[in-house]
Amino acid sequence: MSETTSHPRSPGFGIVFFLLGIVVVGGFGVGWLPEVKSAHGHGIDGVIRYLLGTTGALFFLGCIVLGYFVMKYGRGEAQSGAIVSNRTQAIWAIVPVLVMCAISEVGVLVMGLPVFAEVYGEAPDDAYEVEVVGKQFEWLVRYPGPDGVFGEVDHAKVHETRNPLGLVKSDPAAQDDIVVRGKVHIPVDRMTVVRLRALDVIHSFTVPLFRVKQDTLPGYTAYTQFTPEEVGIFELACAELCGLGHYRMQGSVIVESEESLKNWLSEQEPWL
Amino acid sequence: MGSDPKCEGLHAEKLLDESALVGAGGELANVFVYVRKGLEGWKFATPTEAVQVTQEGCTYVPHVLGVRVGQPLEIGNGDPVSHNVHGYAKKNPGFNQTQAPGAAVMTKVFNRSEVLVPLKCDIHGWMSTFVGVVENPFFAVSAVDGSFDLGQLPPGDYQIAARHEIFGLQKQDITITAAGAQTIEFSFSEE
Amino acid sequence: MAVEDHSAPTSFVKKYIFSQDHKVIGLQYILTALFMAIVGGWLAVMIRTQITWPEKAMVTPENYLSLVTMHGTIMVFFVVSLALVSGLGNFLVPLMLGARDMAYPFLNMLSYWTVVPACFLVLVSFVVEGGAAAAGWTAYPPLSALPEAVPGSGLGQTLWLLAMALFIASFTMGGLNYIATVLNCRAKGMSLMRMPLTVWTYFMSAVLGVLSFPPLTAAAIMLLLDRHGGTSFFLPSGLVFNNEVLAHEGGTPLLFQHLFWFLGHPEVYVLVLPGIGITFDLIASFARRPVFGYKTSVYALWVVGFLSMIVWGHHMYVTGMNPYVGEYFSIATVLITAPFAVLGMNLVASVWRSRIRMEVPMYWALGTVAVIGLGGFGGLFLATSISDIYFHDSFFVVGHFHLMIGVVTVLSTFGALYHWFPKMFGRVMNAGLGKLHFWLTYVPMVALFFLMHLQGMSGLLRRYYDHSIYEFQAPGRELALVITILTYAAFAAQAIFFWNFFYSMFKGVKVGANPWNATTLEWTAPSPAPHGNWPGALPVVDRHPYDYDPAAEEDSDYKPQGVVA
Repeated sequence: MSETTSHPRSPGFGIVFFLLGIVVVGGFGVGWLPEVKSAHGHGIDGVIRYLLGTTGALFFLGCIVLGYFVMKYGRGEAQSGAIVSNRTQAIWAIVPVLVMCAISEVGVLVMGLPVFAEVYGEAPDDAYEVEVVGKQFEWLVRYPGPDGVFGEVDHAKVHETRNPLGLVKSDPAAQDDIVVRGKVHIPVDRMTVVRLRALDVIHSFTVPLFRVKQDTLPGYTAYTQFTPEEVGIFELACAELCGLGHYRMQGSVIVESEESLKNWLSEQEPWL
Repeated sequence: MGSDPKCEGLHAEKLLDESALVGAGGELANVFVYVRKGLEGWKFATPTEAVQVTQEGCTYVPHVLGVRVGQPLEIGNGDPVSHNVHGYAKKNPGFNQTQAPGAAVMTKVFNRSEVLVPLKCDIHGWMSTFVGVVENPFFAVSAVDGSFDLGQLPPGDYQIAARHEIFGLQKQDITITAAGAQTIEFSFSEE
Repeated sequence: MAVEDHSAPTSFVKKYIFSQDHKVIGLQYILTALFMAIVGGWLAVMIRTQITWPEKAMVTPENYLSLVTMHGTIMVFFVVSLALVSGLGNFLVPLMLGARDMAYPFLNMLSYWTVVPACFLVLVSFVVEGGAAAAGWTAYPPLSALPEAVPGSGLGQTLWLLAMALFIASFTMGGLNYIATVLNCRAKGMSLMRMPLTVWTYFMSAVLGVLSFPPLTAAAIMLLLDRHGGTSFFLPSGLVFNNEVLAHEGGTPLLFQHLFWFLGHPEVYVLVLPGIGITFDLIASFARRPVFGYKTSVYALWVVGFLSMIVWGHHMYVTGMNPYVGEYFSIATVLITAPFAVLGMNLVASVWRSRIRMEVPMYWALGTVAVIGLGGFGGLFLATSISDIYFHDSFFVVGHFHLMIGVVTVLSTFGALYHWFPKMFGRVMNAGLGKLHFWLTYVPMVALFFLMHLQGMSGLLRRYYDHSIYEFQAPGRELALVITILTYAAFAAQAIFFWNFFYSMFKGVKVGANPWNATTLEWTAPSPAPHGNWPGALPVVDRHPYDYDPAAEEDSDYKPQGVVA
C-alpha cells in the first residue's frame, strides 16, 4: 500500500455523515406529533411511526456506511478489488429494490388500507352529520335542524349577513336549518360526517389533532368523517391557500356529550 | 359575531345587520338618493376636501355615503385588527388592499360616476359600506326615519333615483319650480 | 445527421450576445439564473422575516402571498431549470458526447432569447397594480382565475401566465435539442451505454420535459381564456363574490390540478435527475474508481422516468379526487423509491474501495448523496396517502421538496460549477473559498429544511402569513427563529461564491486541459474549449466513461474515454 500526499485528503469528512444520521434520527425521535384525539388518527400516526422507524433506520445505516467509506477510503491508500462483476452489481440493485418495495408497500397496503377503510369507508347509519362551507375567509356551519335534512340552497340568494348560505325559503327542509359562523358542534365518541362545500375558491378543512384534512372545491360536495375521542375545543384551520385572509380562516370544533350537544342545538334559532 | 374573536370584544351587543334597517313604520334608512338626470349642462367644482370612512368595531362607519367624481375618499382603520379594503367597483378600477392597525389612511379617487360601489372587508365578511359616486352635489342618504334632503335644486326637470344595497334602484321624474320645497317619496319592497 | 455547420463568430454581438455556441449559451443561462437566484433568495429572506416576526407586519398579507408565489416560480423555473438543466446541460452535453455543438445551434440561441423576456415579465410583475401573482406557484383556479379572489390575480397573474408560456416554449426547444444531440451527435464509438451518467440524466430530463410540459401549456392557455375570454374550463357554477354569483358555469378546478401536476411531478425529476447524474460523475472523478452499477443506474433512470409520468395524482390525495384513484397513485408512487434506492445505493457504493481526492467538487458531491437520502425517504411520508392526510400542505412538504428540488439541485450545480469551471475559463476557482462556501451553504441549508420537516410533524401549515393566532401551530413556531437565522446565513454565504466565481474568471490560477485527471471526453478538449470544442479532429471513444483504477499509481490511475487522433 503506497500512500501519497500530492492530493488533498480529508477522511475526517466522514464524520459529517455520522453527525447527520444522529441529528436526523434524534430530531425526529423527539416526537413532534401532537397527541391524537380521533379514532382513525391512531392509524395515521401508526403509519407515520412505521415510516419513521423503517426509513429512519435505513437513512441512519446509509449515513454510517457512507461516513465509514469516506473515512476508510479517504486516506489515499491504493485499493484493489474495486472492479466487480456485472452480476454483483445486479445483485446490489435487486437488494434495495426488494427492500424498498417491501417497506413502502407494507406502509401503503398493510398499514394503510385498514386506515383507508376508516377514513373513506361507508359511515354507519347513526353518524352525526353537519355541513361546513368554506368561503373567504370563514367557515359557515349548518346543522340540519329537527328534521335532520339539509334544505335546498341557491347561491344566487347568498348574502353575507342576510343569508350567508343562500337557504331557499320555499323549501320546508331549509326552514329549520341552523347556520353558525365558525363553530362546529359535534358529539364525542360517535362518528361525525362533515359535508363540505365552498362558495368561492378552494379551501381545505383541517383539524390537525384529529388528523383530518379534506379540500373543498367549489362545485363539489366532499365528505370527511372522523370519531372524536375526547370532549373539548379543537382548532379548525384552512390548509389550502385561499387568498389574503387564508391565515385567519380560523374556526373551532366543539366536541361535547350527546346531551349537551342536544341542549345546544335546541337553543339555536333556525336561520330563516 | 363572526369568527374573529378579536372583533367580539369591540361591541357591547350583537352586531346589527345593517343591510336593511327598517323602522317601525316601514321607514327605510341607508338609501342613497341622487339626481340622475337633468343636470347635464351644469358644471360643479370638484370639492378637494376628502370624504371620510372609517372601520370601527369591525364595521364601516358610515354604512352608505356619497362622494363626488374626482373627490378623494379617505379610508381609515381605527381597529386593533387588520382589515382588507376591497372595492368591488365595476366602472372604476377595483382595488383590494390590506390595512393594518394604525396603518396610514388610504386615499381613493373615483373618476367615473358609479352608484353604488361596495367596499368590503373579506376577512370580516359582514363589514361593508356603499359609496355613491356622483357628478353633482345633490345627493343624500336616508336617515333612520327614512327622510332625506337633496338640497336646493335649480328649477327644471329631473330624474331622481334612489338605490338601496338590497332593494335595488328606483327612479322618478320630477319638475322643480321656483315655488318652494317639493317632496318625493320612494317605496321599496322585497322581491 | 451532421451537425449544422457554423463557423466561428467574429463580432462581439455574435460571439457573446446572439451566440450559437453551446458553451456561450450555457454560460448565458447560468449567469441569468445566478441573477434570478439573487432575486429568489431575497424573496426567501423576506418570507422568513415575515413569518418569524408576524407582529411587525413587514409586508401585507397580499404581498406576502406574492412573495411566496414568486419565490417558488423563480426558483423552480428561472433558477434551477435555467442553471442546472439549460445552463450546465448546454455546456456539458456536447462536450461529454464529443460533439462540436448542439444539434440545432440556432434553435439553441432562440430558446435562450425566449426565456429572457420571460424573466423580464416575472420581474416587472412585482410593480404592476395589485402586485405579482399571489395564487401560489401552483396557480390553482379559482384563486388564480378571478381578480376579485386575491389582488395578485389581476395583471400580475396574466404576466405570470405569459412568462410561463414563454418559459415552456424555451424549455421545449431546449429539450428537443438535447434529445436530438444525444441521439445524433455522439462521437465515434460513443454508444448509448458508454455515455456518462450526466448525459444520460440530461437525456431523461429532456424526454420527461418534452412529454410533460405540453399539458401545462394547455392549462395556461385555458386559464388565460377563463380569465380574459369568458370561458369556464376551471370554473364551476355558483361562485359567489360580493353577494353575486359569477356567470361562469360547467368547469372544474380539479382539471387544472391534473394538468398542472401531470407536468409538475415529472418536472421534479427534470430538475433532480441531472443533479444526480452530475453527482455520479463528480464522485467517479474524485473517488478514482468506476461508478458502481453503471448499467443498473441507467435502467433505474428509465424506471424512474416512466413511473414519474404516472404518479402525478399523489399531489392531490386530499382534493376530493376519488380516494380509490388516490390509492392507485399511492401504490405507484411509493414504487419510485425502489429505482431511487438503486441510484442511492450505487452512489454510496461508488465510494467503496476508492481513493478519494478531497477536491472542492467532491465536498458538494458527497454532501449531495446524503441529501438525496434524506429527501428521498421524506417523500415516502407524502407518497403514502394515509400519512399524507396529516402532512399535506404542512411544512413537512415544504422541507421535503426544498431538499429535493432545492438542495440536491443547488448543491450539484455548485459542485458542477467548481468542477467544470476550468473547462469554461481555463482557470480554477479558489479552493479555500470553495470549501468555506460549501460549509456555510451546506450546514445551514440542510439544517433548515430538516427543521421544516419537524415543524410539519408538529402541524405547522404552509403559506401562512401569521401562525401566531393558532394554538396548535405554537410548537412549530418555536423553530421559526432558528430556521430564519439559518436562511440568512445560507443567503449571505453566497457572496463568497459570487466573489470567487467572478474573481477566478479573470484572476484564477490557470490550468491545463485536464486538471482533475478525469476520464470523460470534455477533458480531452483544451481549457477553455474553443469554438467547435476540439481544434482538430473529434475524439474517438474506445471504452466506458469511468476507467479509473484505485489500485494503480496515483498519476496514471485513469484512462480517458476517448483519444483525439
